[in-house]
Amino acid sequence: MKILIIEDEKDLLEAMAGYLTLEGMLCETASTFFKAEDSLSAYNYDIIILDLTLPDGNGLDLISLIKERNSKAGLLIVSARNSLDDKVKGLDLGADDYITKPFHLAELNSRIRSLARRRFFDGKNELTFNEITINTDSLEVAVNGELLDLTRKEYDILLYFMVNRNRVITRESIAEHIWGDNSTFADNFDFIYSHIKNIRKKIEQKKGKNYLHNIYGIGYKFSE
Amino acid sequence: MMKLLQKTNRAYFILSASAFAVAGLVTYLVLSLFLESQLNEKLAATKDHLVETIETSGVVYNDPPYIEVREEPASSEIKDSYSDTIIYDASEKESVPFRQLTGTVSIRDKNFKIITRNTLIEKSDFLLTIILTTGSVFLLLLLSLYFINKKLSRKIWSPFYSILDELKKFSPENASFDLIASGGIEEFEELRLTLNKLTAKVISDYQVLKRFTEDASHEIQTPLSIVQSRLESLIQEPDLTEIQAAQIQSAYSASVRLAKLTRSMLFLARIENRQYPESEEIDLESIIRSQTELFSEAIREKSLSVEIHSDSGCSLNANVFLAESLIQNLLGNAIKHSFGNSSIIIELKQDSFVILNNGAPLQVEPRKLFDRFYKASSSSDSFGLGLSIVMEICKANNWHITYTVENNLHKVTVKF
Repeated sequence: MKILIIEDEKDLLEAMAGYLTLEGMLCETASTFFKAEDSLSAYNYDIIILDLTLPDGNGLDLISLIKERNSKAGLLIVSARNSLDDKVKGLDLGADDYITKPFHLAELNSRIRSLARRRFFDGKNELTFNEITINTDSLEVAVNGELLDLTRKEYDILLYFMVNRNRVITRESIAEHIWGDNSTFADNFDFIYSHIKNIRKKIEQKKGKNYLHNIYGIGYKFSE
Repeated sequence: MMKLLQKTNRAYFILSASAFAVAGLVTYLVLSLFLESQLNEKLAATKDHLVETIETSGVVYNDPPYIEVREEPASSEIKDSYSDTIIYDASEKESVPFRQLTGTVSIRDKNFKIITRNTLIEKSDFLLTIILTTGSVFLLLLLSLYFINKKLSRKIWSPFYSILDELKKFSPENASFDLIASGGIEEFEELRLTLNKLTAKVISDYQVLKRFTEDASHEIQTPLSIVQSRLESLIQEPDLTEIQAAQIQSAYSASVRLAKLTRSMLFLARIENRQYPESEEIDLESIIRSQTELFSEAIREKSLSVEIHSDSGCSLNANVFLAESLIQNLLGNAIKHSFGNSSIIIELKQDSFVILNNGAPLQVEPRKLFDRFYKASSSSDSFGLGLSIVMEICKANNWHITYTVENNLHKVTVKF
């Protein structure tokens, strides 16, 4: 998957590209409006990540160029402005999703994956890890071919892990993914712990292996 | 608190009352001295006339108690002297005060003692008359002054009161504010100009402050995302020691907490700056149900039940995002603070939303809870912004919110 990241903060650009490259994506970067125009004119991308605040132009103006040159690309807007105005405008102009700074890299990755699934695998949509298969259309999870009875939140958490497999996912990032930014209980990690315990139990009931590992009390990692 | 007019009236009353008392006293003293000397002159004249009559005609005239002439032995000689005396008047059956002139005169080798008298006005009558006169003048003066003052002051102070009325409508959220009335009086004109300057300053400071919160929170977001993403990358390192991991974890939690804080502050500033203008018809009940689902773990953990009573349902025009946030904050609070094993009751009507939960009594007045960064307990890990956000959402929509506590029952009412 080929990705163009348009972001003027070099550090953030590097961190995003680093994370996504490890996820097996091919990342190109542009830190100015000018450079972004160049890249967009010359190449085709599957996903474009666009920061709206650029030093030499408004990111919103790039959207029309993207629609013109890279009409098939999925477009994810990143903004520090957290403003509904920008969000509505961006989505109106054809952006597919919107994420506000500061965000968790795992969340960014999850959004890109979901965007890619919606864009490129029309209908048939399965993620597989050994004996576990998730169908993101029917929202079903199967272990060794047997369906798991998961709650919506358990499903969301498992999908989040599957997408970010082999990475340490922080509890904070899971909490925000499930409950959003402002939830009163988003920092109560006991709830995450009990959800994860339930997921493990349900997978093990179907003779699945436990791939959810605790990492130093920071979070969890979904891996062999 | 006393009105200005009341105060001047009171001072004026005290001052003029004492002035009138002194004036009355002086009048009394001067008048009695004057009357006395007049009376003395008259008595002397009568005496002279008697002496003359005796000298010329030898007739001795007596008219007690006014005139008494007696022949006296030559040895007793009295110089003229004035005195006051009291004589019983049989006809009027009362003692009457008299002024008398007593003296001896020798006429044609005879010695006469002559007493001339005249009635004296009684001192108490005299005093009473003076008190009554000055008193009524005083009252008259006071009354007329009171009415003049009242009328005049209403007129004089009218620009002041209109400035006051205008000023009461002032809010720093006004785009501009200009006092008009001054009534052509220099002092009030000065007051008006000063107040205009002051309110302009308040408005501009308030705007700067509002922008500042928004700009500052906004500017923090980008560096914060760098910190957060760098730490997230660092966590991925496979060879971290437990101590390193703990240190990264603590820095990371702090950065996440800071991110939440700036997000809340930014959100608050944006509601204040009315940056959520889009509104649509929303179904509040379905928002309540989805938010209840979001809190399902906490609700289960505390063995709570959420009862939603909605007879007619409630649809209103509002911003979805703000309505969700309102419900999320109020429901979250209710769950957090209620005792376990109980119900949270939500009553939804066409024009109001009520949420009831039990919980410990408040240590402060409920309205204080809406203050920014106010925390009921210092140990709480919340920022104390939730209810401020609720308050701002209500203000932005012209909704009225009240919070009451009765017998451990907390009740929040939002009237649409």
